[in-house]
Amino acid sequence: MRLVYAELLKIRTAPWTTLTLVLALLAIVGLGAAGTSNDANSGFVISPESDIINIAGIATIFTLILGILAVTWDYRHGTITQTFLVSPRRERVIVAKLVTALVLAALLTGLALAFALGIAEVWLGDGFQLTRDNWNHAGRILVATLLWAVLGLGLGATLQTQVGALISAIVWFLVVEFVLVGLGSKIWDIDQYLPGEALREFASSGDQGRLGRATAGLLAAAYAFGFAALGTLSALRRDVN
Amino acid sequence: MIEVDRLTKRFGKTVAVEDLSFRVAPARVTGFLGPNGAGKTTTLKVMLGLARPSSGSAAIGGRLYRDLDDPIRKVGAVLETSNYHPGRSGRNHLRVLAAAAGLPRSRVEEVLELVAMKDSARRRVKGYSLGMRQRLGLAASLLGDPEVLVLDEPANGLDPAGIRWLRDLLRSLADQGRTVLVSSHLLAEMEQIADDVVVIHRGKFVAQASTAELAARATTRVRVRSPQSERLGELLVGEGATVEATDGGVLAVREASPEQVGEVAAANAIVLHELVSETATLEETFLELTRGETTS
Repeated sequence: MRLVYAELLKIRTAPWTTLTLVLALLAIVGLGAAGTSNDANSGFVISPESDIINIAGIATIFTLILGILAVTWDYRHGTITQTFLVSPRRERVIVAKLVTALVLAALLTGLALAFALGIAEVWLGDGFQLTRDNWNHAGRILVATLLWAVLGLGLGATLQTQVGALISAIVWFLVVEFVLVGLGSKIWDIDQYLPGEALREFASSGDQGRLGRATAGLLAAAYAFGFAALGTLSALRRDVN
Repeated sequence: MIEVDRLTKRFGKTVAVEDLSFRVAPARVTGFLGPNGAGKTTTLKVMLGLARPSSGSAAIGGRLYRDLDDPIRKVGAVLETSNYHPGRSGRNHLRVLAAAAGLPRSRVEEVLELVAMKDSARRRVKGYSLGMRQRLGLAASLLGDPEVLVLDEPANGLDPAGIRWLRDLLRSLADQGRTVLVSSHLLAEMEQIADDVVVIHRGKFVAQASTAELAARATTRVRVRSPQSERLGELLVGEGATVEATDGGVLAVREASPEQVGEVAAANAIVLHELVSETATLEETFLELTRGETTS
C-alpha cells in the first residue's frame, strides 16, 4: 500500500506530463463531442448517444501511454535504482505501479466519459437519452482503457526505455496493425486476432464483430496480462543499469 | 558487516568482477578503491540486489539484500547511477522515498538538516550542482538511519570544504558503530576519509589494508647525486643496500638511511651534490599495486 502511495506521490510531485495527457484528452474529447452534438442538432446524426460514448474511447491511447510512463519514467530518470533499493522485491514495485496506472486510467476515462456526456447533455437536452445499452457500452470502454493501461505497463517494463516503448506502441498500432489488417483479411482472417482489433471489437457499440464480444474481450485481456507477465519477468531478471 | 565471497560477474564475454572476496568491518570507514572501470560499481550493485552475480555472493549482515526485511532501515546506499527527476524538488524526492519505506515525513526534515540542505530543499533538482546532488543522495541513504552505508563515489563533485564535511560526517557515523563502505577511484580522497582500504583492479582483488598499513608499506628511498655515483653505488651495495642507477649520476637507494649513505660517502671521500630522503606517496603505492596486477 505504501508503495502505491509513493507512486502517486511521484506523480503529484512532478505532475506536468500527466496533466498534459489529461488536457490533451479532454481537448480531443471536447471537440469530438461538440462536433457530434452539433451534427445531431442539425439532424445529421439520428442517435448520437453511442457516437458520443465512442469518442471517449480515444482514452485507450492515453491510458496505454500512461501505463508505459508509469513504469518507464522511473527508468528514464534513473530513479529506478532508489525505487528498487527501498523495495528489492521488484514484483511488489510492479504491482504498485500497476495499481497506480489502473487508478489513473480509471480517473482519466471517467473524466473523458463525463466530459463527453456532459457536453452532449447540455447541447442536446432531451434529444440525448442514455439507455442501458449505452451504459454497458461506456462500461466496456472503461474496461478497455484499463486493459490498455495494463498492456502499456507490461510493454514499458519489458523494454524499460520510455522512447522505445512509446515508439513501439505507436508503430505497432498505427502502422503494423494497419498493414496487417489490410493483409490479414486475405490470409486466414488473422487481423481479427490482433490486439488493437480485438479491443476495438470488444469496446464497440455495434454487434457486427467476427469473434464475438466476449471472445474479443478475453483475447484483449490475454494480450494485456501476457505483456504484464512478460514485463514483470523482465523487471525481475534484468540488472539495473 | 559486509561479506563479499568469491564474487564473479560477467556481462557476456566481459568479466567485470572475478572471484572477488573481502570483508568490511563495522565501526570503520572502508574505502573501496580502484581505477575507473575496475568493477567497483558492479560489485556494489550485486551487494545491493540491483544486479545478479554470475557466481559467488555479497551479503550484508549475513543476508542477501533482497532478503532483508526492511532494507532501507538496515542499509543506506547511493550509487553513481542513482538519479533524480529533474522537475522534482529535493525535499519531494526524499518524501517519495520515505513514503515508499513507510518512514515519517519528519525524518525527511531531519536528514535535510544533517546534510545541510534545508535551504535548497524546495528547489527543483535540475538546478542543483553536482555537490548538492551528492548531498541529496547522502540524505536519501540516511533516511532509514541504517547500520550499514554503501556510498559510490560520494566525494565526486565536492569541493575541498565539502570533502572535509563528508569526512567528518562519515567519521561520526562510523564512530556510532556503523559499517561504512565508500568507493572511489582517487586514493588521495580515501587517504583523508578511510580507515581501511580494499583495492581492486580489473575486477580482481589487489589488497586490503588499513590506510596506516598502506602508508607504512609505502617504501622510503634515498635519492643521491654524485659525480662518482658508480663508485658510491658499489660501496653501498657492499653495505647491503639496494641501488638503482638512473640518469645523470642519480642513485635511488633502498634499505639504507640517508645517514648511512652520507657516512659511506664521507668515509670514502666521495663528493655528494644531493642527498634526499623520499617517501612514495600512497598514490604511488596504489599505482604500484595496481600496476603489479596489470603486468602479472
